[in-house]
Parts: sequence; C-alpha cells; structure tokens
Amino acid sequence: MLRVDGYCTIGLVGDEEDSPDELLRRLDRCGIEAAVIAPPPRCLAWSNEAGNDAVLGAAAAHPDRFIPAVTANPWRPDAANLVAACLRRGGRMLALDPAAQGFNPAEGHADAILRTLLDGGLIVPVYVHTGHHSHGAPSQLALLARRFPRIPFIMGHSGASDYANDVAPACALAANLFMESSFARPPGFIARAAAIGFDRAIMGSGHPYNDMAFEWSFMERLLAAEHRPAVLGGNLLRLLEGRL
Amino acid sequence: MIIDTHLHWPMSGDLDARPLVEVMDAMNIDGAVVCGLEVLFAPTSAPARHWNDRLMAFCAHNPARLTPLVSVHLSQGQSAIDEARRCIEAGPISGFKLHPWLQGESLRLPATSELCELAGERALPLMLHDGTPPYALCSQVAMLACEHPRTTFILGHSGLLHYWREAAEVGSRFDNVYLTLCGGHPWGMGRICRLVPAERLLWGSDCLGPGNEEIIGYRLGLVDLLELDPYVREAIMNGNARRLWRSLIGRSGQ
Repeated sequence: MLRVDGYCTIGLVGDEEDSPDELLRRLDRCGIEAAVIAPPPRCLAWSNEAGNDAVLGAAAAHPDRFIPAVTANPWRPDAANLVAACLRRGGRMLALDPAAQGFNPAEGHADAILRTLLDGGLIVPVYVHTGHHSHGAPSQLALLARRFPRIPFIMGHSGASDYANDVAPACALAANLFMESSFARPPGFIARAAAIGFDRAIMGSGHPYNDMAFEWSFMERLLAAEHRPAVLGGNLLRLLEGRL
Repeated sequence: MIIDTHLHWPMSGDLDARPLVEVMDAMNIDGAVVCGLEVLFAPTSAPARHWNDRLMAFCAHNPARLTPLVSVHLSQGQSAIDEARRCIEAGPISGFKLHPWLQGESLRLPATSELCELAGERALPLMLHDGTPPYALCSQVAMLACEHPRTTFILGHSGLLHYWREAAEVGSRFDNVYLTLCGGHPWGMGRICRLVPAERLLWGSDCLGPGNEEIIGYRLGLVDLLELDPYVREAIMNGNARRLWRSLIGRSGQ
C-alpha cells in the first residue's frame, strides 16, 4: 500500500522555516512514501512565484517523493498564465486558499484560471482550503466544482471545523468534489467519509500545523483496514492520474 | 491530574453520570466542567430551564468530578436573566455557556449585558463558543470583556483553526479572558502558549457525548505534542481550572 500525505506546507510558516529535507526526514520516520507540498500562506496570498519556485524545485530534486501544488492569487491579472506555466514546469496540482487570497469560490474569481487549464489540456486536481470563515465554505466550493465538472476539486480540511455538517451535502452537490482530512479530526472525518464514500476521502496531515506522525497514527488506528489503501494514498493518486 | 473544561453530554436520556465518569477514568481525567447539548439549540423541544435542571441533576450524581455550565437563550430577554438567577439559586453551578451560532443569537442582544454583569457579580465565568463569524468571533468576546471588566470570559476554542492569532491578541490584552486549548492545531496552540499568560490557559476536549469519546484522546494527544514547561502544562491541564472553579474538587481532592 502506497501512503501519500495529501497536504503539507513547506517554506516559511510564521516564524519557522520548514525545509524539504526536514520534510523528507519526517516522511521517512512516518513511513510515508510521498507528500503533496504547497507554498506557505504568504506565498499563497502574495509571493506566488517564490512559493511556486520552492515547491517545484523541491519536487524536481525528489520527484518520487514530492507532489508539487502550485498557486496564483486569482486577483492577479496574470494568474491563469502563471498557473499554466507552473504546471508545464512540473506542477501537479493547483492550490487555492480563498481566505488567504481574498476571494469567494462561489463567485467567479478563480474561473479564468480553471478555464485556461481546461483549454490547455492541463487538468489537475485543485486543492481548495476550506474553514470556519466566510471565504471557503464547503457550499461555496461545491458551486465552483459544479461549474467545472471535469476538474477534480479537493476540499482541504473538509470545512473544519464549523462547516462539518455541510461536507456531505456539498459532496452530494458535486460528484467531482473530494474531502481531505487535515484539521478535520480523524473520528469525524471517517464518519463523513462513510457517508459520502471512502473513494472520495483523502488523508492529509496538514504538516507543519499538525504533527504528521500523530495525525497518521490516529487515522490509521481508527480507519478500517479495508479503506486504508484508498484513503491513505490511492484516491489521491487516482486523481493525479486523471481518473475522477 | 487533568480537568476537562469543555465537555458536552446529552441531557435528553438517562441522567446516569456513570458512563461519563467511566470515560473520564479511562482517559485519566479527574474532573469535567460539563455543558449539555440540547440547550445549545433553539428552545423548540423544551425550555432552557428543563435542560439546565437535568444538567444540574446529572452533575449532582458525582459533584466531586462533574460541575455544570448552564445556558440561557439571550433572545428571551428578561426570561433568560431570570433563568440564570434561578440556576444560581438552584445550583451549585460553575458558570454559563453561550454558543452564539448554534443558539442563533447575537452577543449584542440586550440581555447579554445583564448576564455578563450577573456573572461578574457572582464570580461565575462565562464561556463562549468562539472562532466562528458572524456571532462568535474572539474580538466580539473582547468587546464584552472590555465592557464588563469584573466578569471572567472564557474563549471555549481559542479561535479554533483560523482565528487563533485573534484569540491570542484578546488573551494578551484582556486580563479577564481565559483561553481554552480546544479545537486548534498544535502549531497555533503552541504560539498561544507563548503569547498568553499561562495562568489564563485551560484545556478542553469538546467531546459531544457517547460515541464521540475518541476526540478526548485526540485532543489530549495534541496538547501532549506541545513543548511546555512542566509547571505551564500543569497549570493548563489542572491548576488554572481548579483556581477558576474552586467548587470543582476533582478525584484526587476528595
């Protein structure tokens, strides 16, 4: 069984720098083969190029271990071109953070990026942070996902915590919407996965905000063995291979 | 020793407290500040009085381990204040709990101010769900804390996952606000511990009752991950709660 961490952040997070090498050591200690790596909040919001260069560089150095998620703030006039260029350089996912980037996914701010990807044949999973604020609710993401049914969307953090009740209805609204576990607490995440289908659930540790070893051990302890191959890596790899 | 300062238990069924105490024993938790569940929703099935009476009776089964946080519906105006006063007389209680978004009530309702004053007058803490707009931001609690300096307010979640910086700002500015490490990620909780005086930090599980016990171990595990001086850890997990709720004895104090 291949174990893949569905979302980790590298770079300067707050006052701490988390290097790709440190992340590699952590993955090794946890017995995790690969991880999605994404830019830190300041690079999601503003310094997009710096964040993208960092994840693409790390993935180029360790292509079998890192899955780079690139970004562009949708308010940038050149956002679509920046994302397309990064995907052509090796980016394998798009990461959007509506709260940090200041947009509502239900509205059309990110649509230009997504249309450009479709037109260019660059269909990749789109990871969208969700949370208990007003920009990035699961319902808002579901409306975005319905506008682009060919693109797989990953609901980062599964609306944790106060939108938890919206996760299953949002996934029912959009078949191309998948839920990711970081911050969503393993007990509740597994219960919601049972409701929407374990083939739509993706394990992510949320490193470095969460402790990777603790999150993985807790999830593996609670998750039934029959669902582990899919949730702990298989579902994400399927999306990366272009199979919804 | 551990005090869980944020624990819910349903009050609609059997009032036997033994299942909860068994869970606490299994988790090595000595005492719990207990809030009901049903009272946090609109009062359609029964009034707050009904749920508060059941909660007080539930905790009375084991007062050495359990102490109640009662709740009222602010939109009911004077009736809410009357219910708060009644609970104080009927108690003992350990304070009040408000969940503005579940209860669907703004903290700017007229009854809020009177409840805050009553809580301050009786030295009963007021715990609030926080971290959720538009009714339950940490900064909204800060406004109350500024307006009612005699009253002790508790942020039940310290801003949850995304507003922990706001919670830390509130905690570092207002001496009458406590923060509960409950619902955040360890990265944010660790920084809260650096920014907010240790004597005003608490721990809670936010367990929602039978079937949700795993969350207690999960949230204990998150705090175990924090690099804390032993005296700070003891204060968060035990000492501060015992100081705040002197009526809460806990298993070892019996």
